[in-house]
Amino acid sequence: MGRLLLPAITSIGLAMAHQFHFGHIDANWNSAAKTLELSVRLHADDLEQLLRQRHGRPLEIDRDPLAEKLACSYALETVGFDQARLRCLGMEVTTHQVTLYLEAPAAEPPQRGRFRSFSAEFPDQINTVQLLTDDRRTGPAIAFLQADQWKRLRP
Amino acid sequence: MRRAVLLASLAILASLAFGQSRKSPLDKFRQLEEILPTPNEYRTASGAPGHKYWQQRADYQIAVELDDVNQRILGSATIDYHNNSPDTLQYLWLQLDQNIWQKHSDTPLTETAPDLKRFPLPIARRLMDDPFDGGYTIGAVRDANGRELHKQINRTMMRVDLPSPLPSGQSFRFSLSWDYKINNSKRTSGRTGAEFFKKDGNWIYEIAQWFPRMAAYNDVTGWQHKQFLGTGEFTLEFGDYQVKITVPNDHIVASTGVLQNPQEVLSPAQHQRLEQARTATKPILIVTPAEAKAAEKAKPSGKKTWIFHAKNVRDFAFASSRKFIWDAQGHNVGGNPVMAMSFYPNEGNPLWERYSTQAIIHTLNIYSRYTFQYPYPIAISVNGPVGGMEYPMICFNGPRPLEDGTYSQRTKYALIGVVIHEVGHNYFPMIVNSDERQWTWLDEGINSFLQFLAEQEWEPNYPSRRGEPSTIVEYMLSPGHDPIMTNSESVVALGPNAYGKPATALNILRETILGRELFDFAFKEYSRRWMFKRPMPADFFRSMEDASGTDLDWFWRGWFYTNEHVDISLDMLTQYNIDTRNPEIEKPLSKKAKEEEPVTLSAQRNKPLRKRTDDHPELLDFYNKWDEFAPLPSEKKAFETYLKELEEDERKLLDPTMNFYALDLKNIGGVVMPVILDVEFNDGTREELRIPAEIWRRQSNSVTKLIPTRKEIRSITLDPHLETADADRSNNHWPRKPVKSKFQLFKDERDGKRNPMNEGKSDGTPPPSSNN
Repeated sequence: MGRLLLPAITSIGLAMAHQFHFGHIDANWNSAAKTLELSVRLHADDLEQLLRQRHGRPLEIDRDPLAEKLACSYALETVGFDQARLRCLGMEVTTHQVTLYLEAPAAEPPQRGRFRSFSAEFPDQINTVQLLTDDRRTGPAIAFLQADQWKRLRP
Repeated sequence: MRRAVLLASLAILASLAFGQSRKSPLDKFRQLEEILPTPNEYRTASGAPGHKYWQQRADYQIAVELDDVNQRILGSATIDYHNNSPDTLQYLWLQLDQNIWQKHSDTPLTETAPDLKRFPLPIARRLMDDPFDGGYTIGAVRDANGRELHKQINRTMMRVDLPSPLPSGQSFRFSLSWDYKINNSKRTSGRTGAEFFKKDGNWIYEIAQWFPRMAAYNDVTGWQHKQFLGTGEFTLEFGDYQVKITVPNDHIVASTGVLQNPQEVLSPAQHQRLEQARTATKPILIVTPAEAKAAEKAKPSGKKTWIFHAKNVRDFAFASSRKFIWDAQGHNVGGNPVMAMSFYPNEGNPLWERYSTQAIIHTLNIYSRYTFQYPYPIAISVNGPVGGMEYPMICFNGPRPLEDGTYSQRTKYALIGVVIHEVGHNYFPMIVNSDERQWTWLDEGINSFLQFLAEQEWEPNYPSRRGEPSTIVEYMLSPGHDPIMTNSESVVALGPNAYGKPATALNILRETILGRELFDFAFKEYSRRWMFKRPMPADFFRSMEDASGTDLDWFWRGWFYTNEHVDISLDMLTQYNIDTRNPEIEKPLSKKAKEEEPVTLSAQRNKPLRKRTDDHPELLDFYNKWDEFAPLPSEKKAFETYLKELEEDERKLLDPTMNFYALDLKNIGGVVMPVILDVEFNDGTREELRIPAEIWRRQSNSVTKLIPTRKEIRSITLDPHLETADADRSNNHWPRKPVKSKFQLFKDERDGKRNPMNEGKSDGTPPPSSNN
């Protein structure tokens, strides 16, 4: 049996004010337009920190000209639904939250989804997806924990 | 709206709210006695410390050297441990938090795998690097006579075996030494660490949880020696500290406690400025930016020892660097003179010189108002590698501007918010000494709530992250999330669970359940009772009920013991009117109701057809001309007879102008909450009904509320002020209102007017900074 080198944890939780580790998607299937409309909400501090690390430079998410492009890229990497052709329409930033807007053509409501933003960075991250049809909830939210990859969204 | 006629029954008028089905087997108002620990002589049923409450004490004399060349800590300590418990102790336990960075500590061993398909670079680097070995090396432990004591290290805990049992009321003195490698925060971040600045070759050290600290021994857990895995912070014993900190002689040291030898470690000018700051009305620079800059370029010529004394603190931390600028302002907190001080490198400016010390003073003012007067003489905020962490009298805060000195709005509020939060931790848990290793929320949640109150008094419309009910809704909707009453190390999504949700819960308790007057009195009483003592969750729950005179068990149960959410649906409104039996009133009403009935499709189409009676009018008789809605004499007489049978007060009830509305409410989320209704009438007036949560006490799934009114209702809005964290606003209106999605709003905005931020970005120019 081979031996595994166990990784050292390098980030210990702090008592700081900005612990969050929670993301949420409203995934609305627009039956008239036949589109899947995603509002992806992530914690702004976490996303800003991640983009800084990834791109190796200082970056302020609410005023960097490239922030939207980089944030969209991250969202498209960590969010997936049946509809493969998600495109990012843009983002809104408030003091504490980033909302990314994604869209894809969708003849039917999604059956499977994936939401892994910050799952690699924070073992205690919870991401949830709320499915809607024409802006009405179709059931309870679905939770994605660290180990969850693609999940069925409907029974 | 459904309309119906209400029979004039006195019994119905007496009942204004009634359940519709059998009571749920799970009573939301069931009392918590069966869950909370049984009160005793140490902790009373009222939530106060009992008449035999006790806690241990530990006094420390420490000498520590900071090795700036090798980034090491070398320390030795003499500890006087006072056994105030009624028990005889055979051994003592100490916390070795640094051992979380031993090569084979439980923390990495118990980490679960990240996403193995996609490795972000920092994670890959973390996994590939040699593990950082930063655990303690502990030297001999000796008693006051120099005899070596047996010690047993169990990961992050160390047992010291006493030479003889320590009886109640006795003290024991022992000494030990240690050293460890300080973590480089860039590679291994935590609550303590060193930050290296490549451009000038200097370090900032923030040193915490750096010495073997006496574990708590108390009436609830015995020894609190639950292993430290990285999340559950700590609880310690209060004591006095005398600490000598030896550093390079060009370093500036910020520390818990009062500096005892300023004349030895400061230049005459710095010493004079420090004295001047005590009575200043704005922050005074003790070490100027230019002096800090000059120190960055120089080399130390030796060492200096800074001596600090701290009384009645539960821990001790410090920071040291030659890069520090230092500003200070004396401030009187309810008669207690406090030096509010900030230490930061030039890289922290212009943000830090403007906001840090101001935020400290603001925190002391606001928190003291809601709890107790700040009792310590010092309150410090330090900028360095740690993002945000608190210790007695000192805290570490991370936000900085960009290298060009500009900063975003987010960075500004991140700094103000984190300084308020971390300075606020002086109150909870540094003084109200709750057990963080067991219950993160008991200090973080309460502190986040007070942070919200302080932020809202900083400037109008301060963008607080937590406190407003709407900020926690999405988390509360997440299936299977942990109840707040979950151990610190087991919580998933610690931020919303232990910070955000309790902060919101307390805000709702204050604004909606109890009102500010009752809440503030009760909260202050809890704080006062447990100042310099160790409360448990039950003590908080019981104190709030005891001092407010309100049974809140349903609230603690819903918000702290379950993972249900709030979603009350306003399902149906039915209008009822009194049947007065007066034909002069009822018949015209019936006529009007018939006229208001829609005409059926067949009737509409049949109307133009020529009828037989048009050609043969002789077929029309009495019944074709009779007005069925005209009161008959016999009906009038019957009404007069009926009236004579009624008492005078009963006759008054036959008021034809009275409307009775039955409002069907459904509790979808599970958490019972007050029902707040904004009722709009047809005449354009409005009325707010605030119905206590007890409306759900007999049937928590659905109830009907009867609203008697002389006016006709046009619409009703549930939770009009967004004060209950109601998760689904689409069912909060009668009649229903369409709710536009955020996605659609975004698309609309994109298609139309651009916001100032977008405009600022369009040419790549940052929006103007308040500092520039």
